[in-house]
Amino acid sequence: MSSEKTWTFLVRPVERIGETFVRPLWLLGGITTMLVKTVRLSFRPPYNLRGIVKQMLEIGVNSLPVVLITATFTGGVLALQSYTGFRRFSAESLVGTVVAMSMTRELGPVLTGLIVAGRAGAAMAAELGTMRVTEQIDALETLATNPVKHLVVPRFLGSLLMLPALTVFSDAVGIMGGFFVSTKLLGANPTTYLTRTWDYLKVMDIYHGILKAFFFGAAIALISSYQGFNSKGGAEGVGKATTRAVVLSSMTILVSDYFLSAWMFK
Amino acid sequence: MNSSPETEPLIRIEGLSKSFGSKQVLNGVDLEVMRGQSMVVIGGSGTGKSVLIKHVIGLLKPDAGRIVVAGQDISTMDMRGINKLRRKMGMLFQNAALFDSLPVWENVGFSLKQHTKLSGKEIKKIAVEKLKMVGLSDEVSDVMPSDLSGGMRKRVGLARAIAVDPEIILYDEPTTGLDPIMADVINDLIIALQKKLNVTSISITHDMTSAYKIADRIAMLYQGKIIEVGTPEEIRSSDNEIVRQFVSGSAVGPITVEVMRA
Ligand SMILES: Nc1ncnc2c1ncn2[C@@H]1O[C@H](COP(=O)(O)OP(=O)(O)OP(=O)(O)O)[C@@H](O)[C@H]1O
Ligand SMILES: [Mg+2]
Repeated sequence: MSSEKTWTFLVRPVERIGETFVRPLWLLGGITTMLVKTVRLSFRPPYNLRGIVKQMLEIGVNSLPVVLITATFTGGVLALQSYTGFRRFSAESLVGTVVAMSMTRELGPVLTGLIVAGRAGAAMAAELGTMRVTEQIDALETLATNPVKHLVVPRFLGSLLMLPALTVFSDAVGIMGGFFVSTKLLGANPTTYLTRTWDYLKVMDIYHGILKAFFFGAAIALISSYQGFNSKGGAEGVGKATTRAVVLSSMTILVSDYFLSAWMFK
Repeated sequence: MNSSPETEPLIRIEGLSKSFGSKQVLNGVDLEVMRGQSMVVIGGSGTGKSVLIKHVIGLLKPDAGRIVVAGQDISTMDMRGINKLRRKMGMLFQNAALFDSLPVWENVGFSLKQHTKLSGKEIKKIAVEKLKMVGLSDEVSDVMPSDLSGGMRKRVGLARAIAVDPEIILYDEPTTGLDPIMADVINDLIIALQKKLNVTSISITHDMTSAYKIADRIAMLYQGKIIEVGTPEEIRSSDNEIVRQFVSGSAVGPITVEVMRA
């Protein structure tokens, strides 16, 4: 009996450490499996176009106002800060370029991603989580309907398509915010500002930002759906799944943003 | 389904064991249900009755044992095979498990929408018909499930389970939460489905009146095993202490002793 106790005493910490390392791997495995299933089922008819459009609208309606407001002020603050910096070496004329590049390459997709993760991602995890704990997902299965195809595929495709669209809005509004702050508050010449923005902004900047947005859209939907599908334990479990979905999606966006940037802009 | 010889049970559960974590719920369940038979499973709360029927429709995978439905082992079947089989099965969940995002008629017609080419109008007509069978008027067909009472939800769940005219129906407590008259309407419906459409069913119930009425055979689940199977008469006059205590609903007996000790 006492030797068993010693054994537990020795093994417990090792188990805990093991768990800490194994759990992320498990999660990664689970999400990868869901990715593979979702992509495969996305190509298998019948295609649920109505479902995809519904999800796109939901994500758009949920997030567009917040995206627009956030982007406006982000563009504005970018102009304000870079103006302060650039004035020190008389390079104020570059403010427009900096705002446009920052918005299109980084802040447009990343902020949009974070907002969608917080709104639509949370909603997905909560909705699917509730369906899981109230056995609605089991009920789908008994009705010979694949829950991943029925629930995850439209969310995945909806998010994948909607995020780039929101990002384009965000880019545009952010640039306008910067323009407004520069010309109205900091006294920049509107024509020069716009010419500078236009001349130095490359199509590639916008294109790369949109590519990021596709990736973020896919990641948010997958992570949130995965968390929802795997929630257990009633309302509390759904709450936890929702939190995990938002935290993990946001982290994924920020971390992968670095690697995507390093890869695309090298 | 296969026209297997009638001596072969349509549903055969062999040595089914299942545990969740360290909790052993089922521990070698054996049960056979013949085609057209109405099997009722009784047993205390938390003994694993719901877990048992979820295995029959492939929602849970057994740790050990086999579940053979229409001659095919469901635990080793691929998704396509299981889904083919499921189209001939219906299940009523204990808490109904209605889709909250769909109105009542779309819940009932869900399977028809997924698996047939029927128009929305035709599906709605069938849904209303099935709702009528469970004692609900067509006024509820456009209501959202969250606006229904518990008993109404249960009956919508039942309508959904019978919507595709399944050959096998699994009822998880079909009469729980219904008033005695409505409970009897549901009893009669279950019997009618069996008699008219030769439905094979497994029902779970605590309601002994209902059990005696709808069952061809009653099985009692206790401590992870089926401890007795028999006709309602046999169960009623069983000399197994545990069965006797359960069917008479007495607070004094071997089951209570176990509960107190646990
Ligand atoms: N998915 C699951 N994960 C963990 N434990 C589970 C799961 N499903 C059931 N259990 C456990 O299995 C046991 C049996 O549950 P089950 O729902 O089958 O009981 P039951 O016989 O249907 O009871 P009741 O008559 O109250 O409905 C319970 O202790 C329950 O906690
Ligand atoms: Mg139960």
